[in-house]
Amino acid sequence: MKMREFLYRDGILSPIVQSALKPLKPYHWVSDLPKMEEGYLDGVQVVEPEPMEKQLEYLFSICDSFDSLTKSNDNWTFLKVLYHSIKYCTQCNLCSEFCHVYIGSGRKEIYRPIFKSEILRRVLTQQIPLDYIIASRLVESSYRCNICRRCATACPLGVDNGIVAREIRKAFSQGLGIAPTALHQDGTFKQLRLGSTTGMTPEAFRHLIRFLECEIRDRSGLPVRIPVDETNADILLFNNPGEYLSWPENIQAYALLFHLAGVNWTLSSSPGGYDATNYGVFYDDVQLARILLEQARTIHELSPKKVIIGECGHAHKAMMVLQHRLLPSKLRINADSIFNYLPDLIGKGAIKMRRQLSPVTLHDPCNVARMLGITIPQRQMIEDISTNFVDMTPRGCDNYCCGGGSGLALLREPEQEAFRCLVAGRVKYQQILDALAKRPTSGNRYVIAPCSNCKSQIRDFLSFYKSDIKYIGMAEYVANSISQVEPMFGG
Amino acid sequence: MSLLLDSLFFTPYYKKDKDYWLSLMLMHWGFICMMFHTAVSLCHAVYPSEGLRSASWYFQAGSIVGFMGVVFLLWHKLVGSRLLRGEDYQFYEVPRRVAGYVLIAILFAFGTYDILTYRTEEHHLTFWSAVVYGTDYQIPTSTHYYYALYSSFLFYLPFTNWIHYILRFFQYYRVFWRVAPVSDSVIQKNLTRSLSWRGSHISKFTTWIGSAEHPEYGVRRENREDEGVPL
Amino acid sequence: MPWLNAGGKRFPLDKEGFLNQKYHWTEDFSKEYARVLKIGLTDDHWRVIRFVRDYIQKYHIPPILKMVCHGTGFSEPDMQRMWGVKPMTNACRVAGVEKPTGCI
Repeated sequence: MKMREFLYRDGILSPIVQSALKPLKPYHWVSDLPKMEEGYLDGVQVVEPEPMEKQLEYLFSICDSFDSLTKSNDNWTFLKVLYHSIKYCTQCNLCSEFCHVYIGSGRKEIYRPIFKSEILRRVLTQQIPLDYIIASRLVESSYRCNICRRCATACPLGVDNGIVAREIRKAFSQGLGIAPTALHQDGTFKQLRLGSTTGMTPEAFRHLIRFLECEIRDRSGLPVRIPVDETNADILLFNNPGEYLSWPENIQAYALLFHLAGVNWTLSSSPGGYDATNYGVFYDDVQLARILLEQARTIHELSPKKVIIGECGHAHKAMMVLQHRLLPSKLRINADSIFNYLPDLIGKGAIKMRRQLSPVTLHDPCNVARMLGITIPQRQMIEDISTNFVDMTPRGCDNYCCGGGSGLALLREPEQEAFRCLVAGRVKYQQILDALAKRPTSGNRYVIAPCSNCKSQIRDFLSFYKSDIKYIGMAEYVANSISQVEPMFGG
Repeated sequence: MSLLLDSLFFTPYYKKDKDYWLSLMLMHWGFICMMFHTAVSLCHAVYPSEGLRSASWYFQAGSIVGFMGVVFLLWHKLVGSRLLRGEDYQFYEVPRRVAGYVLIAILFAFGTYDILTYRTEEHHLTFWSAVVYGTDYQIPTSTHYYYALYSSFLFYLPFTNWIHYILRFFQYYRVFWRVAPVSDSVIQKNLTRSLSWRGSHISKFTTWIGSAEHPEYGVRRENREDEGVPL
Repeated sequence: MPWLNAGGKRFPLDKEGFLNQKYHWTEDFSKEYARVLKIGLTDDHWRVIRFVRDYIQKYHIPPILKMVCHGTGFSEPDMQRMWGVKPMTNACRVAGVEKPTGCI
């Protein structure tokens, strides 16, 4: 029975649905922190309250979208996981204890991982008729999940509430075109139109790289190069463009390290070659496919021997995992992670390192540690460099998410920032404080955040809570230990 | 009394879905006929009489009815409802749901074959009197398999729920999302599937590969600097 | 949506205080906005504003702090003294350019 038919009983719209088709009154659904207006998603109104025909049309479109979610033709990418999560959840709530949003909010029921999954389950199995209040709240609550999938590691049956949240987002984006502006119009479409989600065109990129190259030469006194568009390079560094704009010292640190190690590397300034991000990973399969296809084609034109994915967690997810499920084999890319490559490089002894004394702790990005299992190489490298390295608990694959994952760090509305700092990032901040409290402070204390999203989120909550802890990227930290130059990269 | 009528005639199902109701009725009446057939044959073995013999024949003919019922039921479950048509996620449940009915279908198939080929109730009566008196008997192969499968139901019917629970385990492992990369042929087939999403950035395309490769979306198209985004 | 009245015109700002790019910037806008943010505009400030606007005409994206320091000759502490703790945010606001989106 299609979902649309379920709204009717004996040919008439069921009374529950009819009573819900009334004008929306704004009220604070998500309790007082942060204040959200019902039916609004990041400033985009999900539904217009009047007239009634439009409401009905909207309702039917939502029903059709949810129907499409269960069809193999429309959802061959994630159908199995969705079915698994819908059918096999026993509502034991073990996942709730593992969720940083639930714990950070003070155990509010609406932030349980299975809250949204349960509503989706009841809608898909047609136990409750869908009205647009439920639909608006459903899409709003799907954007309160970081899709870190820590709940999936806790579940004894492997039910994945993070992916269910993504499926809800997908139903609304692919079925109705509703998604936050920062991800949709200003995210994936900007990347397809201009080349990067930051709005940086290839000319701007080349200009910026030339500037950074001159600057690092002046500062270090070494003939460092940042090669762009070189064919026959050994590696192509595929980085997040936010690093070039907000943390430009990151690429300078890489340039220094690669120069001293004698690596034949390059960047790419063609569209699709300098932006490793793929916001389609957050909310939409079709946008994911378009961006992935463009990136794959650009990289094949340049044809380096290997692609090294820089410090961006979701680029790892898109390039190291999802491409093997979406791209045909002739377009697949030989990709590796910087978390494997850089420790190898340092370990070979080509660069002389000295030890650093400040207390430092390491944050594991969810998409690198939990999804890919890369936890040891970077730890060993940092333990070799630092005399004062202290690890967080829990760490590695059991780490907590920073709170900025799956696009939440990109939503810059004040309510979203309040949610991120007050609810989602709380547990992580507590972890950082606990880790660095064990060491006495006399000078700078660092947390290494090797992922742009995490850096952005950690920067936000460190300034929100007015902390004196500094955040630093992995490359800058390592480059501060080079003995041939003075430490020049700040946190 | 009304409960008895409900269980015989399945009135709640009649209200919901008439096709399903018909198939359920036929299948269950086939079972009832089978049970009465066994009872009457046993009575005939103990106390032979013409009346019992013809009753046994009529109840045996219920096998055909049951066979038609279960085939119709299988059709309804697989094709008539959403299960295989439209190919949604319910197709993972197909083995578990149809396992029991396939067994019943084979049983009734043997019974039907027996009736249509031999047109006599003699073999069944011989079998039951041999069961009662412990004598030797000769029956054709189809009747023999009919009774072999019939005895497996002595195990299946009381433990139906347990068996279905075990089948759920197998279904779980069929569904479990593996970590291995997907092979190229599967991806190529998936890329040519049709789309029915209606979002404005997808609705004009019909296949996945069409929506991803269209030059309208992508930096390589001619005019990159238009204002706004085609939404 | 907050508005800024400057030179007899109304300029809409987004939630973070950046000018909606469909509206054309005028010098009055910068003066009024700097007054609202309690920044006293001097020639140094105008140099930065002109640098930012020239850069965005060419490259469609605001320059990073390092580039502004290099192009105008000020150092980072100077910029912080002129514009506040996050110099580029306020400079872009007063210069009437948009904030870049993305993982930044």
